Order: sequence, then C-alpha cells, then structure tokens
Amino acid sequence: MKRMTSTAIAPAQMTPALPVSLNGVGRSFPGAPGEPERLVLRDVELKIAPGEIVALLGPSGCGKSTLLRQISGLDRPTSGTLTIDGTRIAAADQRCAVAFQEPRLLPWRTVARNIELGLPRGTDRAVGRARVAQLLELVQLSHAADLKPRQISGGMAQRVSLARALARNPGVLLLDEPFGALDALTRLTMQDLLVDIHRAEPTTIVLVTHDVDEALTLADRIVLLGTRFDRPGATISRILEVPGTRPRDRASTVLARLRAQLLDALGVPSHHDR
Amino acid sequence: MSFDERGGAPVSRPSTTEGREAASREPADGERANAGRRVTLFGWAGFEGFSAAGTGLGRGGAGRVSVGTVLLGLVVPGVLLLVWLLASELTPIPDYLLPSPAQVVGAGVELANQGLLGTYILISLQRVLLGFAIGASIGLALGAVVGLSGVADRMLAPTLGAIRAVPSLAWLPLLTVFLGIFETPKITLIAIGAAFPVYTTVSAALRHVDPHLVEAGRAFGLGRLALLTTVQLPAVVPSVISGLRLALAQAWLFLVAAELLASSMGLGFLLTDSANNGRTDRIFLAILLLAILGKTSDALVGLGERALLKRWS
Repeated sequence: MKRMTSTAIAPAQMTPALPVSLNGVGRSFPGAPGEPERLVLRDVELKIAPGEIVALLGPSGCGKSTLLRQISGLDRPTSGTLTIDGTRIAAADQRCAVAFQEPRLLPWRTVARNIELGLPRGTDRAVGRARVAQLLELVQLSHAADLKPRQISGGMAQRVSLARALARNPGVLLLDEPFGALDALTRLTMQDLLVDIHRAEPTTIVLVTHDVDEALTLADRIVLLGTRFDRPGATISRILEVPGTRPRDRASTVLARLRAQLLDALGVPSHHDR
Repeated sequence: MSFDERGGAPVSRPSTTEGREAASREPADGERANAGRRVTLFGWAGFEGFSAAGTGLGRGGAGRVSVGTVLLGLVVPGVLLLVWLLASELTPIPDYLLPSPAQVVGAGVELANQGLLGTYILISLQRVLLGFAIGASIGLALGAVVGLSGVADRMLAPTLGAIRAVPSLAWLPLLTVFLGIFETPKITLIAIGAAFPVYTTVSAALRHVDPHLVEAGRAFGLGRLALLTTVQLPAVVPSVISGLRLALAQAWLFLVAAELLASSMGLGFLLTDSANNGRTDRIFLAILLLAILGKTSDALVGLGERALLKRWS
C-alpha cells in the first residue's frame, strides 16, 4: 500500500509514443458461397507520428473499425503492410492497446481487477497494483474500484475500458468509437477526460468515430474514409489538419468551417452560413 | 485406489429441478437440451419428471429460502407419511408387503446395531464421490477440448455422442470382466455416468462464450492457456456448476445400477439383498435413505451454487 503514493514513477517506466505506418493496406472478406469476395478497404496509405491523435472518420460500415483492427493486429490485411515503429505488426500486437466500442469487461471481476487485465504479462504485483490505483484516479473511478461491471453505469464502464487499455502504457492506443454508446453529455465529459489523459500520458492515439465534433475536439488530423461510386472498397478520401491546441473551444469559428467541410464530404448538408 | 470408508460431504441425487433452472438461465442450444434429456434415458431422474415448483435454490438472486418455504415443502411428505401410517395400520395389507413406518425405523436401528447401516451409507457415498470426482474431471477436460477446438469437436464429438448413448447397464458386464468385482468397476461405471453431463454442458458453454470477451483477452496479450483460465473458464462457471449437479445425479443413478448387480455392500446391495430375503422394511429404508440423502445433499450443493454464482456475476 505504501507504493500507492508513487504516482511519479509512471512517466519513467512509460513506453514512448510510437509511429505507425500503413502502406497500401487492403482487406477483403470471403463472400457467401458462390459470390465474389467483398473488398472493404483498399490502398490505405497513412503515416502517423508518435504522440499524434488521428481520428478515422467516415459513415457507418465504411471500414473504419476494420482498419483499426489491422493496426491492432487482431486482423490481418489481405494486401499491404503495417508497421509500428518500423517493425511489422504482430498478431494482437502488444505495443498497442484497444478500447472497444463496447466496454467488454469481465463481468465476474471487479473494476480494479478488470483494469489489471490490461497490464503487460508478468508485471510485478506491487507495481501492477500501484499502476491500477493510478489509472483509477486518472479516470476518476477510485471510489468504484471494488464494484462489479453490472453495478456501474455505461460511462463508467467505458472509463474502465479506457483505463484497462492504458494500463500497459501502450505505444499506440486504439479507440474504436469508445464513446459512441454514451449519452451526449457523458460523451463530452469523456472527450475532455481523453484530452487530459493524453496530456498526462502522451501516446499515439488512433480513434475511430462517426462523430464529426468528436473528431474536431480530439484529433490533430482527421482522416476521412470513403468509397468512390465507381469502385468497391473504402480508402482515404481526405486528410484534414485540425488547427489549434487542445483543449479546443468547441464553438470556435475555425472549427465550424472545418465541420461544414467534413459534413459536406460525408454527404450531409451542413446548413453552414459561410 | 484407497478404501477409506469415511465418506465426505453428502451428495445429491435428483438435482434435476435445479438443473433445469440452471439450464434455462442461459440460452440452451440443442446440445445443451440433449444433456438434460439424456438423463431421462436412465429412468427416474429425468428433467421432466420433477416438479418445476422446486425450491428456487438454483435461481440466482431468488432470495433466501424462508422457513415458510421449507414448511410448505414438508407438507406433502407429511401427508404421505400419514397416509402410509394409516394404510399400514388400518388396512389388511400384510406387513411383508407394506411395513409400518415404525418397522422401517426398527429395521434401520437393527442394521445400525449390526454396524451395517453406517458402512453401507459410507461405502455408497465413497463410490459416488470418487466416481463423480474422476468422471467430472474427465468430462471437464473433454468438454474443454471439444468446446475450444473446432478440429477436436469434429473429430471427437460423434464418437463421444455414441459412447454416451450406451445405456449404463450395458457397461457393467464388460467392466466386470475387465476390472473384476471390487471397487474399480463400480467407480469406473459411476465415472462414465458422471463424465457426460459435464462434458456436454461444458463443451456447449465454451462454444458460446462471448467472442467479444475472448477477443478483448487476446488483444491484451492472453495466450491460449491464459485465455482459458482468465476468460473462458470463468465465463462458463455457471454452466459447469449445472453440469456438475447433473453429474452428481447421474453418479447416484449409476451407483445403484452397479450395486444392484454386483456388490456386497452399499445401499444398492441393501436393496437387492432385502428383496431376495423378503425384507420389505429394509427396501423401504434404503429407498428413504436414498431420497433423504439425495435431497439434503442437493440442497447443500444448491446453497454452494448460489454463493458461487453470486460471487461470479
């Protein structure tokens, strides 16, 4: 218990943020018997700098999550290569950590024990406990450490999921619409929390979202995925730099203009008065 | 094999009511439902044969068993006892067909004084517990292999299904020839009986562990073994428990089968021996003992199950 106070050791043991590179990544899935295979992603070229926050934005079903799964190593591309820090991504690459769309907590474990699952294999017990306590504080759940997942709200469960992903000090943090299922207010709070977390532990973050405002609030760059009408398979249709430093003014006029552009690109009328 | 006649905790016989409730907690697939129906092949411990009213022990979070519930459950046995008493006293049915409750108690005291009653109960308990422990372990291992590996599933499931379809008594002559007439064939038979309910429930449950949780485990660096112990096995704990309860019921069934045909001790032996000697009072005694042992122990297992499930969800 004495070591719980050692919050200061965390940055020293921290894995540095790692760069990610996607070279001509494509993924197709076998079709139903007798049907041709289905191309979901094609020709994705992207370089992500260490410590950068990149939002993958696109309409539902365009392959955002599939792309994220390629980076995590949970799925393999059918063409192209992906590297983290210059080396090929392994199956379930341990330099990454994923927070899924659903919290995916083990229902029989307490909040603290769920976060423990995210620690690197073979972490010293005392070190692990200190890290979990620190993360609970970071996601403001110290009071809920001993609760079971069924006893906490959806927003809390997502924070647990986030803390679990952070537990290993990942070189790359992958977030698959982590706040998608939350109510609008909780989502804003969670976005601010993520900004704080990134400042405290500045890792590389790839965030899948279909929420334009979320992308604008959080990302350094927004990568738009889309499908051309004449070709199957989604690819990067645009990359936008988001100006300004976080935390950003949600009502900024610069962002309002970008929002309009993004919505246009997504095929939604923005009704923006230019 | 050790032959220590001190038995362990009481074991359950007809745990089928709880078994059904446990099964209905999770989406039962065909395999699972089969696991239940299978039992009916062996006679009286069928799923459908027991009242669904039950005790509510298997229902997670159904609350405590109140004194009222227990009293209500004792009404029918009380009435039956009364009817039995009246029938034996007031009707002309001779004692050798229908002994009175007092005669049955007397038979018990007589056997106890000869030092046989305790021996019989303990030897039966020992066989059930040993056979159950061995069979359940094998069932757990087989269920894990078949439930986790698609190849093993396709390769082993048909064979295991066929072995499972062999009625219990069919094994007995072969086991006697192979293993003799002492403890080994009986315990083997009980192990065979106990293995299948566990195998079926565990393999079916493992196949249906939330793939999202498994993927999350994989993403956080769990290898096959760690995934099994950290995610998959804990996820199937409720199913394992219901499988174990079914296995216990099966163990008692197979015990009586084994003891009826080839033994010189135990409650099943008491049944055949008494039938050969026309001791209806002892037959009544043995049946009552089986019922009481089974129900009492089942209630205990149910309490354990409830405590475990509470911790587990």
